[in-house]
Amino acid sequence: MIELQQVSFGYGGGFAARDWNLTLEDHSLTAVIGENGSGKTTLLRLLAGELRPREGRILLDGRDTASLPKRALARSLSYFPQGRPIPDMTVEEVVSLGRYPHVGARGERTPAERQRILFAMERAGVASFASRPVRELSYGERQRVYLAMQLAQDANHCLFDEPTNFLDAAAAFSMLEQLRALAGEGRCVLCVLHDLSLAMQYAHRILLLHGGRLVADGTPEQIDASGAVEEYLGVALRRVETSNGAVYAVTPGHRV
Amino acid sequence: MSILQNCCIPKSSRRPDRREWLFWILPLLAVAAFVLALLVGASRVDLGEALSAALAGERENTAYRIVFYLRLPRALGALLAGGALATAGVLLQAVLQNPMAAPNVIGVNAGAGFFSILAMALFPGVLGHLPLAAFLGALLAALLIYAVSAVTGAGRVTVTLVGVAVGSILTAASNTVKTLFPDSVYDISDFLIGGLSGVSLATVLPAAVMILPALGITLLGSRSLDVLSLGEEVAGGLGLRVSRVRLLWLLLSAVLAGAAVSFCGLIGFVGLIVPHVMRRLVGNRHRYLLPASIFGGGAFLLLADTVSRTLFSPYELPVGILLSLVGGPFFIGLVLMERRAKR
Repeated sequence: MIELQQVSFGYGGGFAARDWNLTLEDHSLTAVIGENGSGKTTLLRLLAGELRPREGRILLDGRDTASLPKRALARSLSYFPQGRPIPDMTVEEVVSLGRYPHVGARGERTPAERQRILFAMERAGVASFASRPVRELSYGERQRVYLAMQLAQDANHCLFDEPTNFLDAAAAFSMLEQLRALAGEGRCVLCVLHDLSLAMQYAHRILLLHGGRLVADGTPEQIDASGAVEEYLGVALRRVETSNGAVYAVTPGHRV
Repeated sequence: MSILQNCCIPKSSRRPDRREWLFWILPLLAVAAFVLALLVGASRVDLGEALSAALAGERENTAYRIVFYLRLPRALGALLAGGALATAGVLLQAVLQNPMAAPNVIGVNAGAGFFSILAMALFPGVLGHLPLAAFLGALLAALLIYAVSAVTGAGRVTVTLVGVAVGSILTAASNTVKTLFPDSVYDISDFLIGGLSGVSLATVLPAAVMILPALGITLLGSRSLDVLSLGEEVAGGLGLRVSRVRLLWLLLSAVLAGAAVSFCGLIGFVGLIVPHVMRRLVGNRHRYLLPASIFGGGAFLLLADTVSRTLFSPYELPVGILLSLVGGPFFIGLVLMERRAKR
């Protein structure tokens, strides 16, 4: 469980986050939506310990993240940032680094550690090209490699910053299925998404940020009913019933 | 809770790694280069005679004097300096995330050289403090470049250019000291070009005291360099204290480059060529790359030095000139390959 208590943060003089009070439960996939610059990545970076709150505190299973050693934090919380350099390593080498918070400098040399890495690669669908250099992979394949690394990290709290960017439709659905599965295992999953349809279809809960403030918080149905998406994002949602359940189409709103 | 505890993948045995053969080949190559360096030179020397003289305590024996006073310290110096400079190159490339970073390219060697020359001018005749002075100079240059890259968020090319500028400032400073203290620093052309002709145990041993522990620490912490290569945010997410770790590696690279420069002068390109060749042979994981660079760098510099002192025998070409002749084209090729890879 992640708790934010009166958290505020700013770059320079202004505020990028204002009075965030939130509790994110285990067993749930929460999507963070909002315009560019609304504070979505700031939220993730605060939770990951990359930024320090100006006010308030962040608790991870009841423990203040400010007092947690960095590696202890990484054992409990994993972070999938948006932009990353492409390392000159093979898939397996990158995935194995996910075990760093657990094994540190001694490396993942035991059979049990190797097994964890193999399992993470199998689960993310990258085991078949484990020995290929990451540089030679497509963007979608690279995203799956980083997902595998995060699976190898085996943290109970998982943060993802726009993991479906540049993915084709099938790969994006597959990525969200993986995140749902992580939540289904009892993890607390928080994911920044620009694709509202995907967010509404897969998330258990939606957080809508606007100008550094949390302006809407609820289930997809509650968010749809509140009209907040149209008010703050300028687009309308249309619920469509399909044989696989309800999905949401995004259409131009009154501001467009 | 862990999904990974009950995983269903069959227990895999560890596959033999074909890179591991290099850990036999490279040390053997270094040993072979070492023996060759003792045997080959302007004078023909019987190694057996030198060893017999050593055992019999015949200190005036010519073979003994050539091997133990000239060739042995020089060979040890080449091994140490080659390993240290190649390792410093690997560290700088990881810290600055720039494959073109090397102690001589980005001015770290020039910083070590400036402080060494300054120490020679201020304390003439004292050799023991040179490694420390060179370390401080290397550290100054490395911190300056790191600060520019950290504060401005500059890209690879900018950092390299800043390093080149820092290098030329510090080289100019060295030349100024040379001009102002002509009596104390009268014969430093070998130092500025880089060479091992003046190496003795008195200059190698103080440097070895700094280089050997630094190499040991580097090997122990190689894992964090792998994590660092994933980028700042991912590395932070994996629990690495990025700023602290970067600073530690920068310090160690300054120790290694500074100590090497203190006795062999401004030898260039070892820190660039060797890591790149080793990357091709063993890949980019520092667990393999670092030991390969230590032995490969040592063997490379020792062989280059042996070639440089025997090529035009009895005249000797400073090894720095030979390395620049080889390293310059290598660097240009590297830039061209980088550009092609980006297209």
